Order: sequence, then structure tokens, then C-alpha cells
Amino acid sequence: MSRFGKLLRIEVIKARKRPALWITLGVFTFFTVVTVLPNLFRAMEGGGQGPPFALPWIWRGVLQPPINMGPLFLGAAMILLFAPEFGWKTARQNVIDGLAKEHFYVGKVIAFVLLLAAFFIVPIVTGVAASIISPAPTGTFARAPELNHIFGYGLALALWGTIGFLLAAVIRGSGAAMGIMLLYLLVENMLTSVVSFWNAALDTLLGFLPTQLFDTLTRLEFYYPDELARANAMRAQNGMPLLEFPEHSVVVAFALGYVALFLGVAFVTMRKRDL
Amino acid sequence: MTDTPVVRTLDLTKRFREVLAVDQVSISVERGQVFGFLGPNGSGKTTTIGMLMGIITPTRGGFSLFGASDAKGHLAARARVGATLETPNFYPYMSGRDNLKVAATIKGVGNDRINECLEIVGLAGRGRHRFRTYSLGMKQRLALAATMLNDPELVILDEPANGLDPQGMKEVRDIIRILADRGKTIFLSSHLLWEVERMCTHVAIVRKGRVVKSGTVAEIVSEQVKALVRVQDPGALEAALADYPEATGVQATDEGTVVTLASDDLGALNRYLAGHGIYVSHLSRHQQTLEDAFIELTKGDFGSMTEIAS
Repeated sequence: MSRFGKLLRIEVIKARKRPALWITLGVFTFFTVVTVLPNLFRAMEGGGQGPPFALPWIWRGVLQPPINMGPLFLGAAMILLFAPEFGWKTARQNVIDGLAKEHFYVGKVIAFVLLLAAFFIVPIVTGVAASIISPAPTGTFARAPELNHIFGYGLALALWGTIGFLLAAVIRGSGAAMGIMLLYLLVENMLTSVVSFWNAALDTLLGFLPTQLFDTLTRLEFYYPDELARANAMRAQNGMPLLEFPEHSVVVAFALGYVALFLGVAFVTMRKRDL
Repeated sequence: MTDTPVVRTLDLTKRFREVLAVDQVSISVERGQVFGFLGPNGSGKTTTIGMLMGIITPTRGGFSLFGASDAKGHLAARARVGATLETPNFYPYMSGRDNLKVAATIKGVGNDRINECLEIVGLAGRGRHRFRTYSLGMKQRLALAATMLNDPELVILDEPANGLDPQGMKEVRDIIRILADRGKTIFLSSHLLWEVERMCTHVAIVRKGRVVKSGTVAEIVSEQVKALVRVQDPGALEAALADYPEATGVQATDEGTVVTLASDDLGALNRYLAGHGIYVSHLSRHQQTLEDAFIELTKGDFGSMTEIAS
């Protein structure tokens, strides 16, 4: 068996019977289906406004709250899968049994990619299934804006998944890591709210912090010009500043940079610290 | 031709901030030895084994496993080792069998070996049950099964009898004996000295991170001549021995007074005491145990010796 095959098999054995993982994925799947159902029922009754609830328009109806919270679920799942290995001392035992620390890390990256794929596939399958059931006329799978939206959702998954990965590797306890992840989410949002009130220039810079980037990556207005126009028209009416977003490529580059940074720091931590 | 030592450490040192956990440990374990690594809790035994197993990075010094002394060589050599550290470390939500599957996949051995090992440690009937439902004895036995999966040449066991009842200890001892009889090299860390004395051919005694003595069990325990003396008035005995030139040490014990002698002549001691009006009710050569040697070598380091002596 190749080294990759061996690491994959080990992670599959570990994940297969981990209830916490299946519960997290199950809750996310439940939310996804529950969120899509009202739109589907409306479409079946011939009601509803806006674009038809079918491919390719369906994605803005699927990848919306709370489904766009999927990345947070992935971060939590990653912590649940990774951090207890330190408390149970099974990471230590895996190394004693013959894995290098680096191999153990790669195994966890494989688990992360598999989980990311699962959290990515759930809304995609749900969207396609809803489109098949919906009486609205179906078109192509996705056009450029929808593809960007789907890719952005995947990137948001990778972003929060790697935050969970990093916290698990550094904190080494699932409860504490989960707490810090949620605390960080709150603190960053509070910080940006306060700073944006005092200094608009700094606000633009803070927009590139992980949580703000995640917010951008999961907003419909970032992908669909008609959504942006509608939102800005309402904001103009209410005397609010108009929404502006950085270039897609800049957001993607920052998000990928964070993913690489978090995985890199987790690797160095894993390699340097004793088990 | 001499064999390469299975384990050799040279000035192996580990410092955790201000705590020097392992201090220039140099030991050598030869093929086929049952090597006891002795010391009280916190003396650096587990840290030393952790460094050998690649989970703790040494601060200074180095070691070789089967002659390999670099990181790549250590990794390859670990394929020839079966080890368990401190408590048995397994996934609590998985069955014993699934836990062994993880270890077997890492070690590159097939599932048939899992059945064999479960059979050897007497867990074949409980293999499908979750690890968290196991008693401590069963957990220790599962750990032993995991160490045996790859039919290792070197078995490293850290406190394998920890927390076990006498029956469990006997079972673990029997398994270790089976392994030793099969010619495996065994590196056994323990603070249960009578346990080690029964099983080991060689020992190293570690104190505050340093090896204070090493050699065969016979070498460790028989270097000094001791006499066990019982008299009516131990105080008078001690006063008389203060002037006896052959007596290099006197220690009152529950059994009587143990006198360390410079020569092997117990008759001379008897004559000397009689000459001073002290008539003994018992005089015999006192066979030093590993426990006696250990306590002497680590004298003054510990508040309570109950754990070590028990």
C-alpha cells in the first residue's frame, strides 16, 4: 500500500465510527434540506418572486444563510476530529507505532480534504435534487456568476476548515479550541464594527481579516450584479453607504493565502512540539 | 564479532524550560536482554522512552536504534519496535479490533495478525467491544497486543503493570515472559522493583534524570557484604559498631539491624560484639534486593518510598 493509501485508510477507520463527526455533518445536512424546502414548495405551488428555483439560478437560493454557515460547521468538525488525538494521546501512539509526525499531519490534511468535500457536496446535491423536483424550467448547471459563487463557498469552507485545523493543532483540546474559534469570530466582528465607525480607511484593510473575508465570500452581492444593484438601491434609499467589494482575484488570493498560512503554521507547530 | 546494540543513548538530555527531565543519559541495550529502566515517578523514564520513540525532541545528545542514528534511520528502525507509553493510548469510541486495525495499518501488517494478537492476550472474545468499556487490565492487554502486531524485535513497555491487580500483573508478566522466551529484546520501565527483579537480566537506575547505576541485576545488588543482626538492645549494638573498623554502614530496619561490612567475615563481627558484651540472637548474611540497592542509590530523593517499595 502506498503511503497516501495507508494514511487515507487510517483516517477512514478513525472517522467512520466517530459519532461527533456524523452528528455535525447530519445537522448541517438537515439545515440544508430544511432551508431549501420552503423555496421548493413555493416553486411547486407556482408562487415566489425573483429568478426561477431551478438550475442555474437555484444556487443563490441554496448557498444562503444558514447553509453558508457550512464553513463554521467544517471548522467545528475539524476540531472534533483532530484535537482529541492529543487528549487521548493517540497522536503520540500513532507516532510510536511508526508514523512520522509529518505523516500524521498529512493524514489530518487528507481528513480535512475529505470533510471539505462532504460539506461541499451536501448543498450541491441538495440544489441539484431540488432543481430536478422543482417544476421551474431547468437550464445549465451554472453560469460564470454561479460558478464563482460555488467556488467561493468552497473557498470559505477551506478558510474556516483550516482555522479549525490550526486551532486543533495549537490548542490540542476540542472544548478550548471550539471556544476560541467562536470567540475569535465575535471579537473580529466587534473590532471591525468599532473601527469602521471611527476610521473608514482602516475598515477597508480589516475587510481582509479572515472572518470579514468569509463574510464577503458568502454574500450574494459579491457574485451577482443584480443583487448588488438591489442592495445598493435600498441602502441609498436608507442613506447608508453603498456596498463595495474588492476584486474577486484579490479576495481569492487572500483567502488562499490564509489557507496556506494556517496549514503552514499547523505543520510547524506539529513538527516542533513534543507529543 | 560484536552485535550492534539494539538501543544506545549517548548523553541524551531533555530540558522542559527550567526542568531538566533527562540529564546526559547513556545506556546500551543488547539484543536478547530484558532491560529494566528503573526510577521513581518523575525521574525521566517516560521522557527518555519518548525521545527514543520520536515523540519528544532531545535538547542534547543522541541515540541509535538498531544502529540507526539519524531521523530517517530512526523512523525505519521503529518498524522493528513495538512500544506503549504510560497508559494505553487508544480511541475510546472504537472497538479493540478497530484500534488494532489503525496500529496494524501504520505497521503495515495484515488483519490476520490482529486475531492472533488478540488471542495471545486473551481478548479475542472482547475484540468487537468499544475500548471505553474495557477494564484497566484489558486496556493494558490490548496495548500489549498492539505492541506485538508487527512481531517486533524490540518491545518497549512503560509501566505495563500500572494500576493492575495481582492477577492482572501476573498476566502481564506472563506475556512479557513469552516475548522474552521468543528472543525479543525487552526494554521495561517500572517503579515496581520486585516486578523488575523477577523479569530483568539488566537494569539501569535513574535518579532525577540521571543514570546512577547500570549493569546486570547481580552486579547491582551484590557488590556490598551485609549482615542482618538481631539483638536485645539495638542502641547498644549501634554504639558498639561505631568503633568497629570493618563496619561501613549501619541501618535499622523492621527485620533487625543491617550492617554493611568491608570484609566477608561474619565470624569476626560476632567475636567483636561478644567481646563488647553484646550477644546476638540472629546473625546472617543479608542478601541485598534490588529494592535495597535502589533505595540506597536514590537515598534522600523522596519523601515517601511506599510506592517504590510496594
